[in-house]
Amino acid sequence: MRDAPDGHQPQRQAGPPWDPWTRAPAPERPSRLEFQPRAQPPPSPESQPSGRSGPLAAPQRPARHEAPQARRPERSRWYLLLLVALVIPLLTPLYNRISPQLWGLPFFYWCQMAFVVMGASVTGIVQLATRRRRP
Amino acid sequence: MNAAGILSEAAGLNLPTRHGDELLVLAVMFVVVIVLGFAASRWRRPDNALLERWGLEEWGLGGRAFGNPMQFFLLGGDLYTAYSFIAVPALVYGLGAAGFYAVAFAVIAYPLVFLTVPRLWSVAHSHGFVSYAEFVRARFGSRGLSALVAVTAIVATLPYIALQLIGLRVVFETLGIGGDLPLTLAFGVLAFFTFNSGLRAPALLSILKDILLLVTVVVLLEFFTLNLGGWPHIFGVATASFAHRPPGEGSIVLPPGTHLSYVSLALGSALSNFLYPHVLTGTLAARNRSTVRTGLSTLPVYTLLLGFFGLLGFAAIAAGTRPAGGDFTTILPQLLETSLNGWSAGLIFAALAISALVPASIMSIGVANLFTRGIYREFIRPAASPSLETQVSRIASLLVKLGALAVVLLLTPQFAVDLQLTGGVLILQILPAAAIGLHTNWFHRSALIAGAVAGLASGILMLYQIPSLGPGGVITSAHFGGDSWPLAHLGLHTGVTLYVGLLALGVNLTVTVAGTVICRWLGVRDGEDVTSAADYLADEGDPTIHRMAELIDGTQRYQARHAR
Repeated sequence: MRDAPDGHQPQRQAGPPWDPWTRAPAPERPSRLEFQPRAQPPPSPESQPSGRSGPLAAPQRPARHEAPQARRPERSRWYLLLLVALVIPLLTPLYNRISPQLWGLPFFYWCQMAFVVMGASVTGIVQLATRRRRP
Repeated sequence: MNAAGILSEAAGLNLPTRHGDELLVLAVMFVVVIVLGFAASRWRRPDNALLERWGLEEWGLGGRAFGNPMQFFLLGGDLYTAYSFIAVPALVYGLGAAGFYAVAFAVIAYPLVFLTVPRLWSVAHSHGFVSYAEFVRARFGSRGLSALVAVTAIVATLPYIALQLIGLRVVFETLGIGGDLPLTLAFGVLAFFTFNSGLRAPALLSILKDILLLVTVVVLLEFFTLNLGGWPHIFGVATASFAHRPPGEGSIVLPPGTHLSYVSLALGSALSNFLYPHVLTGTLAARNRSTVRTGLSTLPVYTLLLGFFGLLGFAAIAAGTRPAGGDFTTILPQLLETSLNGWSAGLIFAALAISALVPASIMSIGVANLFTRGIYREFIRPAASPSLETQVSRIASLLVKLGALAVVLLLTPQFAVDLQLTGGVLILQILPAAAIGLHTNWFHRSALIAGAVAGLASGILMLYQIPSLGPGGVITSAHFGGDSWPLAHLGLHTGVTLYVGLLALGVNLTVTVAGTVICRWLGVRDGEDVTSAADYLADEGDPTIHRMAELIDGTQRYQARHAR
């Protein structure tokens, strides 16, 4: 980015009046003195164990978000449902046949059209089941 | 191009009345396109001070402010291009079942991207990214990797724009206005409204496109269900026709031994689809996460449409349609031209023409944004102001389209098709950094570069080894003839072929993972991840996301509905 010519820039500390990363007005950003490392739920998809200075290993980074704790990590069993829509269309032996026909269409064709409806329903169900509700 | 010109041309040249009708419809639609394209710059436009401040996000992402309906239209126009509506029936006409992979691919694409794209939206909004290059730069702290991603994505998308122009030309040729001039005129309109209005123009046009497509589908469903003896007869004729073809030249269901090829092509295409910059552009224009997620569960409606167009390939066989000049991509326009009356055909051709303009416009914007933020601001002028960025993007989008036009006019269309094939393989190689990177920053930046280079090299090598086969198994060109690589090259005694992109991605991931382990073991210095876990879950209404949606529509009304 524009303020990081070599990829190893020091942590942004003082910072310009405009946060160059968000380009949002700075006032709502807490000062570094007030900052406290936020509690992280341990097994979230983001908290990959790694030896690098990732988000977890760098608690000195200023927190730019007000309420990360309130945010549930994206973990829900509903997401497993997506596997159904993902795997079934790839199992060609299931539908690679002519009969039974529907309105004259061989099974191979109308079944895949039915998969479209199935896939959309699955994605729709997961989207409704995992959407964020207001507290 | 104006209506009067077309009309006088139609009258002057004494074209058959049927072409006259079609051209009249097309001309009227073109006038509507011109008006909408330019009106778009005034649509939901913030005042000049905001334009100055938000620059590229305003021109290149429509202010990141599109709600559910607009997102549906925009991404629908973005993903389902005229070329796919023309190419899928052509594939089915030529190959039968194997050509229907586009439907399977579109089915699995949505659940797949449902897991990644909302995270991308959040992190892009938190940091003001407009392209993958910036995300990769922030996530893995490597300018080299970011430049590699930018260049790969730009190269992969250019032929895609050329394909849209080819789709446009096929339609024009069927209407008897072939040649370079009509294409150049249409291109001029496209270039001008994109330059002027940015992403708002294709967004507005995609509504018109969808209305026309709706009419198209009603007309075609009605026609082909009632004529040609209905679908049972169509498939009866097609089955008999495929039975007479030599083996390897199509069948009504997948022949044994081709299943893996079908599956790998569907999976590879699904993985690559959302890596294209134009799809990212369309996605980032959404105003919040739930708009992105809702879009992914409603957009499959267009897949039904695409599947239906695929079935028209069989209708073409049953109707005895012949491709013009032996070019299979003309099969759908030829079928419509011979089956429907002038007015209906004209409407459908107009729908196809606008379906080419919309994605071509978004693609050029996506590529231009990638260039501006990934290369220009990174390497040429780091202190570029937002308004300068917008100017650079505008000019880049113009140059990109000129390049695509030159490819179509100067080189053979087949060259663009081959290039696009290569593009699909290339774009897949940014997947570890751009898509898996959304979930983990475990990869080492050097390993990612090595993996991408290995994937690109092996992909191009495999494509080079594939000859193109003409009728009767004659080799028509020795290289870059397809995207299914025979595993026999590995010394395996099998006739199985797999999609090159997926194989190259396998090479890429292997090198990346092994490289990461080695780099960690050697203690090679890693890049710094400047994104935080919360960035990937951020949503509109968060304190850090004061973006265009609120600025355009007014914060008051907005917070009343979405206050958390």
